[in-house]
Amino acid sequence: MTEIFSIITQLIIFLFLTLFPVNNISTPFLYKSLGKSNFFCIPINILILLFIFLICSFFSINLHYVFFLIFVTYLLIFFNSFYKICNEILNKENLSLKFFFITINLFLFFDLAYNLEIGWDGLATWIFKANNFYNGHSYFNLFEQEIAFKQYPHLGSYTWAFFWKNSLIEKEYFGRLFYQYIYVVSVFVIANSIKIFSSLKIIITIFCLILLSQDYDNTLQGYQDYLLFSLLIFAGKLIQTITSRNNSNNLLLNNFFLLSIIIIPWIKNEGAFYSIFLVILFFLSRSTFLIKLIFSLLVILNIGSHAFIVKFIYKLESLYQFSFNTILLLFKNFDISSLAIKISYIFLYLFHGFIKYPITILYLFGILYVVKYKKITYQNKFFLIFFFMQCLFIFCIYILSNADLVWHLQTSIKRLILQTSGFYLFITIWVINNFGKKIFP
Amino acid sequence: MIIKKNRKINIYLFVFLIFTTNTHFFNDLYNLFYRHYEERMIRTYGFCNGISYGFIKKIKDKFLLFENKVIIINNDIFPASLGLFPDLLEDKEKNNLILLNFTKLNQKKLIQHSINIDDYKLIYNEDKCYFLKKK
Repeated sequence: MTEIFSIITQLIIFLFLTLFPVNNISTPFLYKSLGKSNFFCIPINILILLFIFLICSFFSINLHYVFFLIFVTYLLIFFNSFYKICNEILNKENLSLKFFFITINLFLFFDLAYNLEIGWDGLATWIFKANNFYNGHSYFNLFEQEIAFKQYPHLGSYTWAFFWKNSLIEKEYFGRLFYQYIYVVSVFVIANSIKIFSSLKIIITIFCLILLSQDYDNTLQGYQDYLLFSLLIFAGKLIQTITSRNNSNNLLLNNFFLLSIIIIPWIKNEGAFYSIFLVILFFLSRSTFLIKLIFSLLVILNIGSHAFIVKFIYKLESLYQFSFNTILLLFKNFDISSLAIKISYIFLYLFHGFIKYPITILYLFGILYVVKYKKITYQNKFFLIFFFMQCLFIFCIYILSNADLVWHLQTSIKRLILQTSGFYLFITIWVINNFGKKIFP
Repeated sequence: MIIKKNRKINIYLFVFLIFTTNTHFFNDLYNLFYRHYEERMIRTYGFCNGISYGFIKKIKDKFLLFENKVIIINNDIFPASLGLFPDLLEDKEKNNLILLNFTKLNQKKLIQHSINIDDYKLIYNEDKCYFLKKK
């Protein structure tokens, strides 16, 4: 009974920490820019929270103190407009969605609480990093320990440790509950982006999205892929917001987009590449050249600082799991037949990955529709270019991989497919919003 | 109007029920009520098989009350069990030794870790798991 009560309390903590500072009461201007939906404010607050975590992770600060500081700050904002916020929470608008949001979270939390297993990578890598932060050490202390893959980013593990430490009964899985929470928020963001749907249809869409994207081996077991999946959805939503309205020069929205680009490389190694892709996309936006320049410099600095710490301060090898020697060797011993075999294997496992996550069919439908009927708008262009870059990225990493190709494909390509699948769904959403009335009368 | 409203409520209920079955809600809730955390951990990671959470937890609570350093060697291929215990650290001096899934104590795996079993005395053993201390 204590555990069930603690899980419910943990959900309340998540809600409290992600309903501030951006919401319709404390930041009405931003709320309007975000399409007047609280489900779009939560991702922004998650990005802010993760950014605070990122900064704190570089210092040896007790996680209780970090929690206390954030909690008190948000509490002040809460009491500043207490009645308005209470009215908003009890407001009947979107009541079914609010109820459904809390119920899905609780269902998934209970499922995780019973299925405590942490996956192989989780046990071999991520939990050791989480233990480091749980014990109050900083990011730099990770390099002093004898753990595998020290060069991997750490933000997911910090989040895990933070909510593990700041839970009522301090059990390890309370940290992982936040991964589930972010995942549910991202699914709600996608479903709420469909403007032509009533709340009932949105709930059915959410149900389908969870069924199509959920992978029990992966979501519950401490892997970081669903974090990337969710963060890329938040980035996608920000692109959609910046490009669809007259928000191109809305500095706050641009800054939140920058925040997402800065956070992603600290979750997983491939995040560094996604971050570069996103900053390339930002150059296509209608923002001023100065903002674009500053943003790209900050992103380079962000990725560069991680590389510098790993490669030059702690002198660790295989930062992104490939070396330039492999590339040189490939060009030196170029053999068309072996390249063809590699490419055919990649196609085979790509197909396997598409079957594993049926959500991909949804976005492939959107992409094919847009390309076939030549509906490549200013907004769609962003997602299509990202898709093109992601395809190139997948082929490049497997062609240049040092590891055994089949093993490498078997263990990782599905994750790469999953991580970005939510991002491309915005193309499908665009198709549904513009032509959906014929499909869903 | 009433029929339409009822239909909507029925659809909500239907989706809700499918969700409960899809996420094993009732099964999870039952198990959370009747199986406490440690029992669920042992069911997941095993007592003296696989990661052997149960055995390590027993040793930690019984023999490592005032120490937090231990070296754990698993004879089977599994990720390190030490990650599940944030308050335990790897014992570089190899004073406290936990061996998991060992049928015999003089195995090659110990040589790989440059451990001479004759330097240790057996403190506790259950099935294929051993706790030893340096003499």
